[in-house]
Amino acid sequence: MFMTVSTSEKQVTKPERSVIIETQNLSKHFEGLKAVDEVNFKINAGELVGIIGPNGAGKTTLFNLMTGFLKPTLGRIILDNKKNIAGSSPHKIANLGITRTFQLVRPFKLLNALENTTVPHIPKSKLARSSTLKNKATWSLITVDLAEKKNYPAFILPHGDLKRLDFARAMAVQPRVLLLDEPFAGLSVEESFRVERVIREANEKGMTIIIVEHKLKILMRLVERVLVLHQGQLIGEGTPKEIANNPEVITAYLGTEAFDFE
Amino acid sequence: MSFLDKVIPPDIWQKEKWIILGLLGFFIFCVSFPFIFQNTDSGIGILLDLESGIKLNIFAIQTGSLYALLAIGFSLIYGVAKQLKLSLGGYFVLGAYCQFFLLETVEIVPEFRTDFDGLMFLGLALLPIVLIIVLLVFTYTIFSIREFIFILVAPIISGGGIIAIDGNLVAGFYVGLAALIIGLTGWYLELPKREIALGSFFYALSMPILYIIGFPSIYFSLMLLSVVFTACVAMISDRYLLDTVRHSHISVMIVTFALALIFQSIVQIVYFPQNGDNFTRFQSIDWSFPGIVPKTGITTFLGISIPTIRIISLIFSLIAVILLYIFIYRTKFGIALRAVSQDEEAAALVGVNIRKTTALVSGVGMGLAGFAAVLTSSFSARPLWNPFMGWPVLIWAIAVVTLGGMGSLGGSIIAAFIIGYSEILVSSINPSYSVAIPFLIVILVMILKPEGLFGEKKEVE
Amino acid sequence: MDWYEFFEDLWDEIKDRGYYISGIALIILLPSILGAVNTPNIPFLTDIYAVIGEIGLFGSTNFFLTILSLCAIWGIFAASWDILSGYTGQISFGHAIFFGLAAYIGYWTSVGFDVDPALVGILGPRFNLSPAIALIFSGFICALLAVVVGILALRVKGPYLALVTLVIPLITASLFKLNEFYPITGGDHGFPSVPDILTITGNLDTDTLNFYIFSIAVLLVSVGIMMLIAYSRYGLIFQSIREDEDAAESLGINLAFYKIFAFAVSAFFAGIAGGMYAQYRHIAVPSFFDTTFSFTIIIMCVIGGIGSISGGVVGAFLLTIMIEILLGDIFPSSILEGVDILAFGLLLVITLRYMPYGLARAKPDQKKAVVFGILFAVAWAIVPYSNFIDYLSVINVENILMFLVMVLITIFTIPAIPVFIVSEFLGLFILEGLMGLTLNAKSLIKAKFLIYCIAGIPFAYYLPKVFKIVRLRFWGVWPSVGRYEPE
Repeated sequence: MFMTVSTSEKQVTKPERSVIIETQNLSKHFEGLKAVDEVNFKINAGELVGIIGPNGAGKTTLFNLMTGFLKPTLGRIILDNKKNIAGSSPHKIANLGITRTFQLVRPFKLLNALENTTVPHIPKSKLARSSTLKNKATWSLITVDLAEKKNYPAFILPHGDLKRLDFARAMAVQPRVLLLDEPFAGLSVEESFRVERVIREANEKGMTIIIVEHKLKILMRLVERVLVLHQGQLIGEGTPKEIANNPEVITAYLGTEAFDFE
Repeated sequence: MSFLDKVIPPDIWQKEKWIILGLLGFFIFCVSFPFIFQNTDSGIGILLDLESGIKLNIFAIQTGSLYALLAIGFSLIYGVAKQLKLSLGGYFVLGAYCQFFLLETVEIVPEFRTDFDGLMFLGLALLPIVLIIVLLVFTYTIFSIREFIFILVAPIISGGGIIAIDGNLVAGFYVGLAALIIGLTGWYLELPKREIALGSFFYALSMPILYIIGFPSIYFSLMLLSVVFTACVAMISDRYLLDTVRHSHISVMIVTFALALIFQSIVQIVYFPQNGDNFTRFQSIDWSFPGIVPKTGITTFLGISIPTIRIISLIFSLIAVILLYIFIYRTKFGIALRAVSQDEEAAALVGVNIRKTTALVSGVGMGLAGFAAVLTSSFSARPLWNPFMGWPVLIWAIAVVTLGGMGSLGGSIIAAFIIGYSEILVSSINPSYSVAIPFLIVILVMILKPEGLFGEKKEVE
Repeated sequence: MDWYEFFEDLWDEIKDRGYYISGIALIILLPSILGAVNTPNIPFLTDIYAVIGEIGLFGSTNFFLTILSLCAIWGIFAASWDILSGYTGQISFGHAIFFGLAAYIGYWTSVGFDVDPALVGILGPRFNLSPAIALIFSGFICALLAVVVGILALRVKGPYLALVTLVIPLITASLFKLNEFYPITGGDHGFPSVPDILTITGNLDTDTLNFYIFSIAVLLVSVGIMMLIAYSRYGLIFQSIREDEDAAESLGINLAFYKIFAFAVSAFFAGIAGGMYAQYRHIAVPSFFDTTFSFTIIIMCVIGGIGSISGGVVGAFLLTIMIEILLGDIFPSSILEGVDILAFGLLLVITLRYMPYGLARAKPDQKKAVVFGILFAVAWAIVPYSNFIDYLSVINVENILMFLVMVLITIFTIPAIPVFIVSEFLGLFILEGLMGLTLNAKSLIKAKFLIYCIAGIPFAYYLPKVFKIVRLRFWGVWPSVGRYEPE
């Protein structure tokens, strides 16, 4: 059913939090094209951060760098103020607690929903009994309201369900940092509400979440802090309100003065 | 964008500086090597010899151009239809044996017909006739009666002319068939109908006239026919067998592999009933470039004598490559082809017939393989004529294409010459390493640059 | 929990696994059915044996058992391909590399590194391992080699991997044929005498039976292990790698490890199959590296259904029996080599054209067509030869029942009579007229059966459709009023 989501500001000011992930001069060049160019930012533990920017701004490349699918040309990505994870392979990064979803849904098509969420549990608990794995996987599905469709093969599920399945799969890794690449793209209003609720619940349990999204209306009411990328560079950082009034962001993003978040 | 820009991208120097320099170095070395180093009695010595240098260079270029023909077909199909067709070798076998079959039928080599089972022969002869009937039915449903008559008259003139002059019924039949196929191909390509009729008539009139002059136009028709037959089989198989599995790389590979096996075993059943007793029959044939020059003919130019068949084969393969470039970059269908290679769905949205384009491109690619087979038939030494000769061909093509980069036509051509040169040069020194060294080069390049010399690097996501 | 749920579950289980269970039971019982071992005198079994012997469909008992051993070897090989390519999605077009190599390693480890036994101790070291240990050892060596290939496979993906693996065995074969390596590889002709695991008693019946039992046992054990792997969490990871590598890796799955693991498992069992094949034929030759070997198992897996270990085994049994028993009798051995490859190719092309997911996952009407087509063929191959009117000479329940069955078969296949007559005429014209074969009574019945199958399956597929059209044409929509038939 429709969940009522408060669009008001966050009332509770959370206590001071430690930096969980930090990039230092992170750059990626493709044969002269600077897809990501000396990006520096810090993400605190338990934060819900949005990354916006026009198409081709380097958002997905940034995600690829952070999860190890690309090796950075330059710079470091520091986890927990001590470990540089730049350039190590995706599965190692995932086991350190950073995982992601993809822009297009990428379920394991011929596996059913339950098997889809079982896969990420396996490397975490290699010696667990099968029934334990199954219970854990079912629980992952319950958190995203897919439990009743657990025996459906993924290729027959509708797009909205697949988005949530992707999310459940990523959550099953039990990550400390979760990177969501356009989680609301192509969803109807109701489905967006469901995904939004799921994200909010995960964040309230203490998970750090970074979202790349073009649907600004949803993003701005969801996140605490927004980073703005433009042509590979970080051009703005702040709360949604600050960003909405930042003239540099407005010109970069729209090229005009008018900027309506509705 | 000029014509040249499409063939050679303007920013290639910035992107591939080291590769271009390396290639230049390699080719300068290869071209100059045979002039300087000679295989003397006491090993390899430095000995300036103009004649054998030029000879080896021509051999190498000719080998390279043959590989280029094979690899271009393979690469073109991959680029446009995104299919890896392992049936390349099968079509090579098909082209070669189709030509052999036609030559036998027209009684060019009458002595080889003695041990041929009559009924089997009839069955084989029935095949093309059935094919024609099917095509006619298709044509009649599309064409209005007037164009249909136009297309039918051309074969009657050319075939009838040959029969009237020479009295060889079978030859006339096949020459007429070639005329018919020219017309039908034009129809398939949706050329203007006036031009189809003109082309058919031009061919129809020229064949008997050329024959009177002394040009071996029958052989020429047969050569054309075997190439077109190969292309037709490729197109039909693409249309009817690959339809349900078009989008799965692996299924396409499995089906095309099966096709190659089918062609191979058909040839094996028809031509080698006694478990390979007849292998010698094919090796002992005094093949010439059919009917144009004798096999042992030698052209002497500026005091340098070179086997004529090599030169003719070289010329023909160059002509084929040039025609292909014109086809791709100058015709309407070429535009459609390149559009499909960029984005299949977008091309379909603007009205390109995807199935037709992919079928046509596989026809062109496999037709080139058949053409290469027809050209290679001049050389009795290699490949040995047997039903399994397609596999080495396929492997050479794969080596060339992986070296040059998948889907890159220019890369394939350059890689073909690299492999041709290295093979000929190595075999001029020590023939037993002529297979190993080119493959070593391929493996080295694959380790250093897995996507090939000019291949596109796949981006993540 | 209701009391009957247990029985429902049990029934479901039997329905799901019924084919396997009955198949395994049949294979195990077969020697006793065929009379290769002394069975208790059960009338049912002796009757069946008498019928089989009368028709002569399977040849002699020894021959049939030999063919079944061959089936088992192919089954292991096909299943090993399936675990790598069907489950993990790492398509290998050159699985014969492991097959052939294992054959050679079996010889090297159990005999030595040279061809001539007279040269013992001169040319190379001799191991004299027992053939059983040599078999397992060669499996392990293949697994080691597969680790190397797997490391290569990390760099190339999808179709490129298929191309690379296609080339590897061909290059290996050409290396093995080189004269320089003659003392090690035996050159063109390979090694003539690979020792057998089983002691040869000289009694043909016992030897055949022993080898049959041995190969079926190895089949059951190795396919069992492969199924355990496939249905365990490793199988799940393999499938996730097949479906989407990037997604799997982002979930913390070590791609490199699992790919290489799949390669190693697959190569181990391919090696076992290769070693057994060498023992079966008592030779190790470079032609074991042939692409046709790699390709045969792909056909088996495609026909049985890719992505289920049992599919490959089923396909292996079907194809091997078809080739060896049906085609082997019709065609003389001089052209059989071309014909069986032709049959492989045609079967594969047709299967992938009309049922891209194999027989197991075909559309219902296609499955029905296959079943009914083969039934038609069986009926029409048998009906003219069984004088079923004679059944009525002695009136008892059995005979009347059999008579009614035969009459029913005849009635149901009446619409197919013209098709069968035409196909028989054409097929026999091709076989006898064009190819010049001489068919004796036994091979004639098989040839007819084959022709009827070829004609019967499309007939059984199109008959209902034609009937529907005719019905609509002459009776309008009346018979199907109120019924929606999605096409």
